[in-house]
Amino acid sequence: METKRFVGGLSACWVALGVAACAHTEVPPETVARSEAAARAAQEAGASEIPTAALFLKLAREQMDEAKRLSKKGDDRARIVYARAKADAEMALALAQEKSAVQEAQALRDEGARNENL
Amino acid sequence: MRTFDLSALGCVLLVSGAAACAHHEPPKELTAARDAYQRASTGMASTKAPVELHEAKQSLERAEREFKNDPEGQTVRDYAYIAQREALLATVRGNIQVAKEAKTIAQQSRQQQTQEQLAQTREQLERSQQSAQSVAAQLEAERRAREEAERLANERQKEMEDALAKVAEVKKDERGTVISLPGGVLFASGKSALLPGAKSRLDRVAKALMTNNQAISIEGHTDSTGSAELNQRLSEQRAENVREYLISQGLPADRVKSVGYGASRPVADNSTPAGRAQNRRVEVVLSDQPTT
Repeated sequence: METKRFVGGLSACWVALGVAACAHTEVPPETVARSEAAARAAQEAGASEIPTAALFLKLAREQMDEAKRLSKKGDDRARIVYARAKADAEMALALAQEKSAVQEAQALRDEGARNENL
Repeated sequence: MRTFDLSALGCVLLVSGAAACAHHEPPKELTAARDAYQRASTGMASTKAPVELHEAKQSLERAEREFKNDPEGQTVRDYAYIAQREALLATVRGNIQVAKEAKTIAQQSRQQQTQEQLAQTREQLERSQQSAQSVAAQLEAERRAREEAERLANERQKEMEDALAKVAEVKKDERGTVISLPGGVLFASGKSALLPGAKSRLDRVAKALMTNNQAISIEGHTDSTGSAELNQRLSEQRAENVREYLISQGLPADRVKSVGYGASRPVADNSTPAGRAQNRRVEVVLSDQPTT
């Protein structure tokens, strides 16, 4: 699953210090946006209320912070860390959705069982 | 379902040109990713979340390629981390799908239950409507039967009156139906015994009254000639003789009574012979209250 590499703006190179021109790329805005959107979706789905989901959401946020730091430093790893954050946010969302879906199915099953006994 | 070797060989090309392959332990992230994929691919995800499972497989393959490429690097750990999350995701998405399908089935079953209850209620309503209809139909039939019985009774009454009208004068007054028989036809003057000719007329009266179930009162009347006492006795006797004869022709005794009124109830002027002839009469009165 290789994502396209966007050659966005170049961050400041330490040319003045005589270091070889750095050829790092900034994190594409879409990558950042997707990670943040995934975390928001998980939050809105109630992930913070569910222990396992909350854990993944916490990891997602911590990694997004780390990715921001790396991005400011010009570290190319920033992008993959955003990808890790997104994966964790998606897990948080899925766990929240799983809980709702299971609860709904159970509730209907219970109702059906009650009605049959009438 | 691929199984991954736990021992992946990483080869390092030395400056001297000789190749040396070292046995590298996979990073814990890669082991975790392999396990997660193994579990996902043998679970519900293969049928319920195939797209997510495929993506997890591709991520794992990318991690494996990187492991061969640079087994000790950070990138393989990052790729493996992502691959593991994606495998878990496939499992969880599979669970969600299963739960949704169970919900759909439960909803359909609830719908079906509701429909069955609805059908039951409709059936009950139909049945009660049918029974209401049959009650209404029954009442209607009874009403028609009553009407028919009334009509027949009226017909019989008319037939009787027509039959009677042929042998006597029939009128209606406050007493009921009155059949007036002239005294001269029934009795000799001053006598109470029935003349032979009277009997045939009385037969026809009896026959006409057979189907009737009204109370019958035989009233004897005289003109004003002679003493009141004599007239009273004569009218009583005549009425009684008519009664006895009618009973002998089959009318029920308990339905027929006789009474004499002497000259007390004239219907015509006693000062003329014609009037006196009219007053000398026997009246058979059918009262409107039927006897039970």
